[in-house]
Amino acid sequence: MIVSRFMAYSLQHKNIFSSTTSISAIKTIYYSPVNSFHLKSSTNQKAVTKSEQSGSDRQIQVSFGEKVKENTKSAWYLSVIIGGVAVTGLMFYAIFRELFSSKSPNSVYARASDYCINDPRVINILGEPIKAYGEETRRGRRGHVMHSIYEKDGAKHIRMKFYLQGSRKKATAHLEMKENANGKWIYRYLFIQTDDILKSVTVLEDNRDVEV
Amino acid sequence: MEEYAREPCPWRIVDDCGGAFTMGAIGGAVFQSIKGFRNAPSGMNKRLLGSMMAIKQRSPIIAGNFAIWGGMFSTIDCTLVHFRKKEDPWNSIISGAATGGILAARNGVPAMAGSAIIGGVLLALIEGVGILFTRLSAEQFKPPQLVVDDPSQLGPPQGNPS
Repeated sequence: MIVSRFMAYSLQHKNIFSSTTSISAIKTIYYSPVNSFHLKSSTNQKAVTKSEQSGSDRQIQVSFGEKVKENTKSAWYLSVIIGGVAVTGLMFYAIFRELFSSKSPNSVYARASDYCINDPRVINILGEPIKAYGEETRRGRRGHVMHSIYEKDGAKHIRMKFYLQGSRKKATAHLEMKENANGKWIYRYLFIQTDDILKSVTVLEDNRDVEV
Repeated sequence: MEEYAREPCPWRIVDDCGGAFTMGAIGGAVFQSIKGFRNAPSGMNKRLLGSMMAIKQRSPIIAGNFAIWGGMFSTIDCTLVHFRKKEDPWNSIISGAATGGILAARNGVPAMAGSAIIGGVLLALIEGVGILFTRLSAEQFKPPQLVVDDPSQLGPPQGNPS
């Protein structure tokens, strides 16, 4: 809606500009009393009257109502611009927090998947090369990873699930991390479970008995 | 079940290309109909005719441009998936920037840099919207009492193996 409004606005202006430039040559003829009748009957009379209205050589009286209208219009445009900037800022905030904070789900996923891919036990089970991916959307994107952040006993926990695929087998990796006193994520556990019939579990990290 | 287990990657390119073409065709038709309507000479019939002409002339071009963008984007995305061995938001941001850069390659290096930045920022915004949406929906559908038991596959704690 905003785009079409803006386009309409600019088109109107384009019309006015083009009509003023084309008319300015014959403007003098129009104002002379002899030829005025002749020109008024010509086809672009509409354009001539328009250019006369927006003539710059004459001071236009602006009423109070006009001023209010104009200010309301510019206030509305300003609010649209501010709204747009705010929404853009929100999106940038979300993406920057996701990509550049070391505590975001995305960086947890990045570290955990690097860990799994380079771990000799995982390589032994799944076979090289291993790749990691998240939940598949309808459009074939697998960039987003399923996770949930919750609080338990006053400490933040994050639980996550992602998938690994090697040359021989596929597996699902589950992990849970806990925020320690310094505000860093520490593994509670990290294990992979193969997606074949055996469903064998390989535990990579298990700190559950240490912390309690 | 095998249908879902299939790799999305090489096939996704065709998918995205067609999707982008459709999107460009529909969006271009709407946009060009308004533009043609406004640019036509006065009279309702002439305006409708002008809008039809504009749609016929311009919207296939727009659709084609969209399709090139979508196909290129998806190709680079899949290449990155293959080489980075990981699928995350970085993939689509990098491939958006690369697509913008490559498709402006004939306009010189400054134009390439400009469109690469625009492409990257655009895709970053789209990813940001996706992240916001997943977060919002996760908040909405969060059960009041979360199950926080450890997974049964893990068994009792046995000390850290590594």
